[in-house]
Amino acid sequence: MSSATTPIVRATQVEQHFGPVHALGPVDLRIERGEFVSIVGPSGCGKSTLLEIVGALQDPASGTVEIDGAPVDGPRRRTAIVFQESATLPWRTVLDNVAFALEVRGIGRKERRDKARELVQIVGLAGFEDHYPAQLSGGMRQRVAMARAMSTEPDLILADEPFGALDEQTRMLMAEELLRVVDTIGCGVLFITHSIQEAVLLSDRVLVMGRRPGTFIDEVPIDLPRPRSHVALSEQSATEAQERIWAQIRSEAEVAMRSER
Amino acid sequence: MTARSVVPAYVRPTPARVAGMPARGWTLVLLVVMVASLELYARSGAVSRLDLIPVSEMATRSIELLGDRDFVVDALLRSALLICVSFVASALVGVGVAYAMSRYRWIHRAMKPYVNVFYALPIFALYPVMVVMFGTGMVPIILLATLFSVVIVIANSLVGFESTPPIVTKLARSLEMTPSQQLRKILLPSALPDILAGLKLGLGYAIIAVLATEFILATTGLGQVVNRAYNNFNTVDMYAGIVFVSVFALLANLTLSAALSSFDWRRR
Amino acid sequence: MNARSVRESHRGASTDRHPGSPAWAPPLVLAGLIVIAWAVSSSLADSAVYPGPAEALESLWSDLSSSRFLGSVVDTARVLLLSYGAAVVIGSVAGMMLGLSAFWSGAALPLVYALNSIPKIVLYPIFLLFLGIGDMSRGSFAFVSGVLPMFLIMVEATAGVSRLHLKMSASLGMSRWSLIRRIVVPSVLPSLAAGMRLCFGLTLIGLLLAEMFSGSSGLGYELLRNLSLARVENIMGQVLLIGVLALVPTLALQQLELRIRRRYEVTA
Repeated sequence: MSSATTPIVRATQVEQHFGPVHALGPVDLRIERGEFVSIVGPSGCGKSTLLEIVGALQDPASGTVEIDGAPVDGPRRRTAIVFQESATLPWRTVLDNVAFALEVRGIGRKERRDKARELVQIVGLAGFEDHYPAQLSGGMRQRVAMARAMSTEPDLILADEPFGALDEQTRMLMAEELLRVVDTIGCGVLFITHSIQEAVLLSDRVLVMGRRPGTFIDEVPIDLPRPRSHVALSEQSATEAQERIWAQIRSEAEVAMRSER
Repeated sequence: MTARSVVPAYVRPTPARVAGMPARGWTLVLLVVMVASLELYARSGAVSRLDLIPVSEMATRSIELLGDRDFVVDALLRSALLICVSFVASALVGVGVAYAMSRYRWIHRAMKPYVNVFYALPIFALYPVMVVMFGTGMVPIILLATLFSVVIVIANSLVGFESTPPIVTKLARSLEMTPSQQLRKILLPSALPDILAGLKLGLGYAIIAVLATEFILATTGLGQVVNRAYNNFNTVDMYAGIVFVSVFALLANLTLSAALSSFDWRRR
Repeated sequence: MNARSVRESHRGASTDRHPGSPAWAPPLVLAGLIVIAWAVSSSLADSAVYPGPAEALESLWSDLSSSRFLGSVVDTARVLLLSYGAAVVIGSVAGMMLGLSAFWSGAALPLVYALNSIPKIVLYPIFLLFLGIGDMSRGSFAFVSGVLPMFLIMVEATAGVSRLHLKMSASLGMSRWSLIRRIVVPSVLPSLAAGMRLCFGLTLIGLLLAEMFSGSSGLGYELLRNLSLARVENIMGQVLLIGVLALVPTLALQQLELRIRRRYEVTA
């Protein structure tokens, strides 16, 4: 059913309502295999709603979502969702947090711990295997969440403002870390953020979502060579992209702010 | 939701209605079902009238009690008075002690462990002691009810005083406010929501203590009405008393909650 | 960066320490002052109804050598253990089951809260009518006194399980059973421990009140028996004993709660 040309995500005419509130859409979304797509937009515009529909955490009011050519019929084994850092489980050690997804899937203790140990190394937490999340900084907890996402060898990662609770410097470090991880496993990514800089640094394509009900008002391709680091942000094409996105969002955010307060 | 959901049940949004009825509607249904089944069970003849009477009779009789002058004066007003006195005493003492604890560290350190374990101690065991020392009048009941409710007021007010943001305390110091100004203009308003929560609980505890002590050993009062009816095998009056006490406690709690909520700046 | 942030978070997690005397000193000094005040005032009063601490301990000592009194202690402990165990198990399991459904929690909770605000002691005659005087009635009453708060705490705790953790579990396609075992149970453990501590005190109060109202043995019964015999020094001695018996398990449960919270508490 899937082939090299089937997009990893294809959402068609997706809409969402919460009671009387028209929250999202209709929107179309297409992500190729191995492509990194970000959605930026003012808060409350429905970005996370779209991600949760793709990840089978919400049912859409209408529209269809296909992943790897097959309609979504529940949480999918090869889709991994990365949430904010507080999604780590405080009663489990770093190692057991990383091994959590494998444990849920019934992988034996020895095998999942070996795999988890490897991943802890990759995200740079070696030596912290037996620490509890409360003993770690926010950035380190986010590394744990990323290692857990990698453990199931996903072909699609959905990231819902994963760095939203981190400070500016840590965000930049974590963004570079995520780039490295994605390059290693070569999966498609849908990345939700309200940081324009982050979106430009990470993505192949940035989608700009307008205020509620969210629809895409612009699509900005980012032509920067990979592998990237924060240095790429000072290139001209990067600054141009940031300005173009900001101009779009600014007017939307202003209207949204006035209608909310 | 028309189509089959793809979402695991435990993250689906809470439905606004089940079978066409909102949660509040179901609350009413549950209440009616419980009362009705009690009524039917009592009327079915499966249980002796000495053990259980229909709810409708409990209700009629407890309303009749309101027309009985002896009941109103000796039981209702007396218990209400005892509750009021104990509540006011525990409110004043409780907030005062909590303030002292927040201000003087040695008081805090000496008393905090006792506040923590107080409600594990069956304080009603002291009631017989107080009866011997003060007789069966109002004094031991007020003492015990005040003691029982004051600690919950202390515990909550203390949380309030201690959660005053440090920046506000610094502000007060920079304005060179006197301790009494700090208390009236900064500490009390800032701690108010927690104090109010403590007072609500305090009233509940005062009601429990007054009724329980009256019930165990007293000459009059609401609790004693139930006790006497039980000992006289007067099942009708016993259930009427229980219904009356329950409604009384519920109304008192709701009234105070509503009254105090209007002072709570966190709810505005 | 890593090593430093780890050190910092360790410091944040450690308990605050006061300079100077150890934490147990001020509360002990306070206790000592109270005992001295008691001794002095009783020797000044020189009254038959106000014995001092020495007399209280003396009579407690002689009580403890009476087999009838020891039987009462054992009776109370046995009934307490059974009703407490039942209240914890049934209250927490039922509370967790209701808490898993936000809709039905919303429908049922107002009724349970209303029921819980009734001074339960006035319901005790109903227990006596249906279960007779004895272990069954006082045990059931103690159970009811403890189970409602336990139930309410667990419903709230289960409803408060982190939404983010639920979504994370859903994204892994976890079954409901797996969710309960791996997410819900660990999340509610701190509340379970707090509930167990609270439930112990309430069950004990319920049991003692029941024994005081009507019983043929048990610590509450002994208290009232001594009251009718006007043996105040025995009452005081027994109050001390009850205090100690209540305090030991409470302190143990407090330690348990502290340990569990340190590991399982979700800090958002």
